[in-house]
Amino acid sequence: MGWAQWPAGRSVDLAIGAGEMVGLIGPNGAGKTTLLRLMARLLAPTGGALWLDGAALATLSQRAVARHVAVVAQAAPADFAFAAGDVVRMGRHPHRGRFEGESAEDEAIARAAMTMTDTATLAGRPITELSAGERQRVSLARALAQAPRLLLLDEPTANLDPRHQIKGLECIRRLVRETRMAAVAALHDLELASRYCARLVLMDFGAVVADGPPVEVLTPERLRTVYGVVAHVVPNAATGGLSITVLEAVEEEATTS
Amino acid sequence: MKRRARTLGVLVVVLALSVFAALLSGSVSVPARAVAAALIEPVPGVDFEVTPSQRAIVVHLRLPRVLLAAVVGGSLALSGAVLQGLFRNPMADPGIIGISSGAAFGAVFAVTSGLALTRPWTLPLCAFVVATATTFAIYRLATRGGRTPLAALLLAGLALSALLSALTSFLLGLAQNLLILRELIFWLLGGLDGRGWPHLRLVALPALAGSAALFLFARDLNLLAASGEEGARSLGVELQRLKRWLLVVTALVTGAVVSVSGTIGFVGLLVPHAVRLVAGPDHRVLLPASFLGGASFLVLADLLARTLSPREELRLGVVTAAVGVPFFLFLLQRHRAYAEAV
Repeated sequence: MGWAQWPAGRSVDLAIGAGEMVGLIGPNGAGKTTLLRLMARLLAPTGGALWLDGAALATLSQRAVARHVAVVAQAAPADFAFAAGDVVRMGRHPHRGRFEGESAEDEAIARAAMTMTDTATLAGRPITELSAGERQRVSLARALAQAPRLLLLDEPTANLDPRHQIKGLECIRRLVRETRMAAVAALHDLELASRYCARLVLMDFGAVVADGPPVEVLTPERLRTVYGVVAHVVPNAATGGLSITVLEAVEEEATTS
Repeated sequence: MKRRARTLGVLVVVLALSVFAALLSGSVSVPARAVAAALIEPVPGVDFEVTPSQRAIVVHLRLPRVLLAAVVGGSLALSGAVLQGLFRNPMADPGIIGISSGAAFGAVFAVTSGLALTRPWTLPLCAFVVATATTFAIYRLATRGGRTPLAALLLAGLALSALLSALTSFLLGLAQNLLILRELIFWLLGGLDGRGWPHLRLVALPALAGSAALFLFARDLNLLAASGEEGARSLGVELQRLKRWLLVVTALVTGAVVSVSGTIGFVGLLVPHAVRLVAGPDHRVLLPASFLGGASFLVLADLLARTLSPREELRLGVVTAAVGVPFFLFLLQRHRAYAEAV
């Protein structure tokens, strides 16, 4: 992964397995979005290669990738007044031939995806009238309708209220467990990440700095060096994750490297 | 599904009625029975009262012109709808890919250089060639590393259109013969006067075949319009190939019709807009509905152009603009009212 702003030669070596729910964390500009886009084949790597289920990603057609990988982007555009239900049904596109119509099975899958994301009541409404959070949930429903083996999420909880944050992550975790789907979510909320992801990958400046269970990755030392904050980290018995209390920002030191 | 069929059904009826109305009217009024009779005549075993002059007017003069108006209007509106979906911009129209300025330059060049005098088809051919070459040039200018960013396409379109407009004006300024100048300006303002069966035969196949091809991209356009470029790619759309196809086919379709009708504005911009207001953004309805709506619109506009003034025909581009501007203002008003109410 070479990027003009960063030191060249930084690379990422990562393996995601079925049934894993991985939290991708790191400060702004660490490369989380770039990594997700590489995994979705929306971006080509400058060196090295990516594999999906043993097949080299670069050799697969866009459609073949879309049958296995679904992306929930950070912001959902709303230029045209499509109904939310229609947008979710578009998730079935990679599974249908050019001249095939919508089958009853497609309809059922789309509806199930909307029920899971609490968007069934929004089905008839145009997306231009929905709030950012509602659009986010519709995007998630569309991704789930794709029935992916790998679900990639970029800040899926960013616009959501606490209830829907929990429900969304809960839904993904359940799907991961039940269907052995793999999920990689870039998250800013470290506590949520620690609570729902059994494995965290911490990135900084385009490289993976730590990879493992939350309690090993989110140590006060890491938070200091990577995030530049002084923080308390304690296990939270109620949630099963960690409680992170940020105390203060570390003063900027002059770096020469 | 049912609603879709109903919308399209209504539009087909509207088109049929418009065509019939256009066949009735003109400098010579032909009664409805005679029109129907003249149309059915070729059917064997049918024997109706039609005078030779009525037949000549309906079948030889008006029918090809009206059908041509339908094909041109439908093609322009469909192309507008496709480009609006591609650019995700409701303000896009076929001019955005340089077709109008290219065709204008081609036509003016053909006439002022004397090429148009050599063969009857030289003018439309020049218009078509320069129009499609312009789109090709815009595509090449905007494409780098196998990617064609829409913003680059837009800018290249603006730049080339400006250049061609300047060159066209330059050539017009050089023209010594006032009659030729008048003919050119009439062409630039758009019109179907004097167009007959030969013209229709020339453009019908590319325009209709191309339009049918564009209908096939309705789902891809839905994905693009609803989810953006990356969203569409993540759903399996081969984006670069889609852009190329859409540009090529739209350029061919629009280039073909504009080479015969001259540059007619507002159809490609307004008809898809109006259709979207009524039938929604789903391209599976929007594309065929835009075609049908555009066809009816131009048939009626041509009817007005022919019949409004008893002395002389109005230019088609002027009629579409005269209808277009008030509609635009109405849309603006509606938009403002909505914005204030929010």
